[in-house]
Amino acid sequence: MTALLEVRDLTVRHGGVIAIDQVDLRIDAGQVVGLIGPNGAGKTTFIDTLSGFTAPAHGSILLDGVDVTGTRPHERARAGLVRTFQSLELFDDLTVADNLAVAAHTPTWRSTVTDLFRPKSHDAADVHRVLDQLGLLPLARRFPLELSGGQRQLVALGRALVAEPKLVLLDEPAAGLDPAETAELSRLLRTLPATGASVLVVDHDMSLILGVCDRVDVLDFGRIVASGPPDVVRDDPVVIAAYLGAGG
Amino acid sequence: MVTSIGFLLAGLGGGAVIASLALGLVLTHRSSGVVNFAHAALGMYVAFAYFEFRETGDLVLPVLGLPARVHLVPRPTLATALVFAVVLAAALGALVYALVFRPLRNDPPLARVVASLGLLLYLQETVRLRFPVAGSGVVRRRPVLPADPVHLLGTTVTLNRLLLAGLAVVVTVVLWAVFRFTRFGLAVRAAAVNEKGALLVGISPDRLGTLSWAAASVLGGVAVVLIEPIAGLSPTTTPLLVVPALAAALLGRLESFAVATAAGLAIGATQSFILGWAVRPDAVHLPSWIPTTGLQQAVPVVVIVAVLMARSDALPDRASVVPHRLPPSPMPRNVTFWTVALAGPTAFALWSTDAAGRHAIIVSLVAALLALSVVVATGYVGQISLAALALAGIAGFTSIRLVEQDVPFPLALLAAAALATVVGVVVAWPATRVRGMSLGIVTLAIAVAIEQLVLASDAVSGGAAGRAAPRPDLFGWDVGFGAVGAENYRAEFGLVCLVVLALAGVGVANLRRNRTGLRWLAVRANERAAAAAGIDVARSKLGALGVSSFIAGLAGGLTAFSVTTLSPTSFMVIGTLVAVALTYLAGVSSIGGALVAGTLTHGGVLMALSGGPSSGSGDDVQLALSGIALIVAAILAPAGITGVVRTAWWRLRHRAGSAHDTVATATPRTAT
Repeated sequence: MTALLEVRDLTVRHGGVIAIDQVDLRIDAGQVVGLIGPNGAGKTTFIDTLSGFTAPAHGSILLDGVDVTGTRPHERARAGLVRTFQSLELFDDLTVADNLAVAAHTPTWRSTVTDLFRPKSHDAADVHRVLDQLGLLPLARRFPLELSGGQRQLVALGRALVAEPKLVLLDEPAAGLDPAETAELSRLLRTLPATGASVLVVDHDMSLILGVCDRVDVLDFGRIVASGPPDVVRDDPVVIAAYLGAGG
Repeated sequence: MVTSIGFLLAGLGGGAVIASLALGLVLTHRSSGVVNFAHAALGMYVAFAYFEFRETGDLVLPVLGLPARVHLVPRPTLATALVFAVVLAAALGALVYALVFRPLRNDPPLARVVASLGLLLYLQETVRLRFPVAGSGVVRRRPVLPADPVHLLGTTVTLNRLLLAGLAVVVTVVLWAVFRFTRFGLAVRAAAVNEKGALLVGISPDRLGTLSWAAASVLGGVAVVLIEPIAGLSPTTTPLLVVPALAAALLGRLESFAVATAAGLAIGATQSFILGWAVRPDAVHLPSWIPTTGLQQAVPVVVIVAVLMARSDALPDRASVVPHRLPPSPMPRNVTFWTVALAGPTAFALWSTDAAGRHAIIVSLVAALLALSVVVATGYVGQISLAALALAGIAGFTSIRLVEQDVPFPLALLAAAALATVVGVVVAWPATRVRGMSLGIVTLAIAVAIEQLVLASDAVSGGAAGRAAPRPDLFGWDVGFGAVGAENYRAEFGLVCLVVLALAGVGVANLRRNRTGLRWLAVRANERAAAAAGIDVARSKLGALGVSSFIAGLAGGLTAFSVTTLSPTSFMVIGTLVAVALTYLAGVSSIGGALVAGTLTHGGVLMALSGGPSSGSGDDVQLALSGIALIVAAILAPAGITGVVRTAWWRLRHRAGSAHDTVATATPRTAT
């Protein structure tokens, strides 16, 4: 069976520093995979590279068996590889509903021309569905700056989901959430594979990672140092060393 | 070979001025983050004041309302006069910083651009008011530097050119050393990285700003004084020296003194070389219809664009995402109602006023169209493009050509606007990689090149004489006008302008309300996030800039038929700068803002209502005052007039108690 995402021998350099060092990784359809590691391990760089914002020095990225290594970020998003940002990067000028509507449809030259001649017309069924799924309907017409941190996280997640991704890359989705909100997010992430979206989630919240993931990969100094089911990885001495420091 | 060296050396003078102005631009940008479009205008004022003082001993004050001149000394020597120029320039620089740019320190870059444009207009008109350009009042301008011939490399060059270039290099080394080795330089570099941190360790950004602005102003002032024998001095052309200087500074990323100077000298030498090559009798390869000055402008521009494109990225990197902080763009509501409510009375007014009134309405309608193109480019997709009038000019002369060839008027208008769109997209290509103020500078330089290479060409416009438009008709219906009586500015032509504006306005409103507009706003807000949401950022920008160019083209086509003779002066870059500034002042991110900008425009409806344009010096006073208005508005109302009105309206409704649950959604989040 073809993997949903296959990363082969991926190496990323920032100037002279090797941020990602010969990483191989595989995600199958229906999986929720966690990626953890200490600060500076290269987690965000990894997501940047998968989503096309950073060019790798070496290696290849295959989505559904198709090599997407050289493609641009919006092309990967349209191909079903969608990400969120650690800093959310919501469109502050747009309402919550419009934040999602931006990502909902692939534009064509024709749609631009027809937009010129018709009053407001976009069909909002998909936006409505995702807002409902995330419990954001009451906030649909608010602006991001009027929302709480947890609500903003959900908008960022909604913007990723509305594009109906095959694989969604979540960069610290639990940052700024209280325990109740984190529990709600865990429940939500578990439901995603059933809707067709597999997940790669980066987070520092161990209860989230250990609670929802089928597999956890551990990144340290740009290398995958451990990989396996959550309860195995949790007790792996290599992982403990990575987090506490090599000497600890 | 020898003559080529001669031409290159002759360009050192012009190059030195570009370099010194570029040094000043880098200095003020590094210390206060301001790209000062009025930099050369400041130098121009100092130069005018210097020559006046040198001959008469009078200080001419640049403040309207104060006495025009104060007599200081009876017979100033060269040394006194130079000291005077330096002190005046320093005081002027410090004053401008304190009054204009310090208050704008935390405002969006565009607000500072608008303020600097206001300053440019003010200085330009003040010079026109205070210094006679003809008659007995004109003072002799005694050159400061000797112009003796010097033999060098087998050719002859005047001494002043060598001295100017030498001075530019010395100043560069001094500035570099100051920034590299002194506490002042360290402080500026620290404050540029982290202003709060600098404050915490006891560095005052105000003092740094004041010092830098004074120094930059002295540099600019002295440069313009010294170059006068070579480049001349005029309120029309001298302020535009800032364009090549900006280009040179931009090559040094507005950071590097050395690169700015090298680029400035190179631009000057290249321009001189092109000029010399073009006027040589054996240079027959060059068709006569290509204006040499245009070629001089165009060649450096091409190089600059290429360099900038090559070293920029398609998307900003993680660290350099800066908030645009343009005013919020409200969703257009009740479009049909507003279209009818505004177009109806305007049509009525066209048929009920005299020729002067009709003229004012037509001027305002065309200006509103131009402002609408600024709203799409800058307000909606966040790109500072300063080429609108150059594109309008292309469309204007094209539409005249087409109607002369018996193409029906409406088709000619559309075809000309389509051509403007194509050119506009090419001009806007740098926008796919170059961002913010840099894009503004690049498009400004391209606009100057188009103006002088294409629009000034005999083949296109008939040169300075201009080109007369044939009388337009709309499938047999006469919509043109004559020069006198009831024929003058006939209402029918006004109706054509009104219909074009209404259609363009509704089209833009539709785009804004649909997904296309959402994508534009997404790109404006955050390019990285937009790309992650599946938006092709480059294509979105080019699409919006194409729409913007099309509208500018329509404005140009209408301009062509609203004057008896269309000359290239209708499309000078300064006009674009004024249009952008007015649109910003009126509200750059809404269609209403474009309409308000139209009424505010020079010679438009507002001016007609407030007593009509006065002639002669009164006109200059009005322009000078509008310069001040721009500065004040940039400081006080960053969201523009329509933004202020909208906020007031919302407050009123809120207080009236209509606070049902949609209030939050209608909240106009005022720019903070």
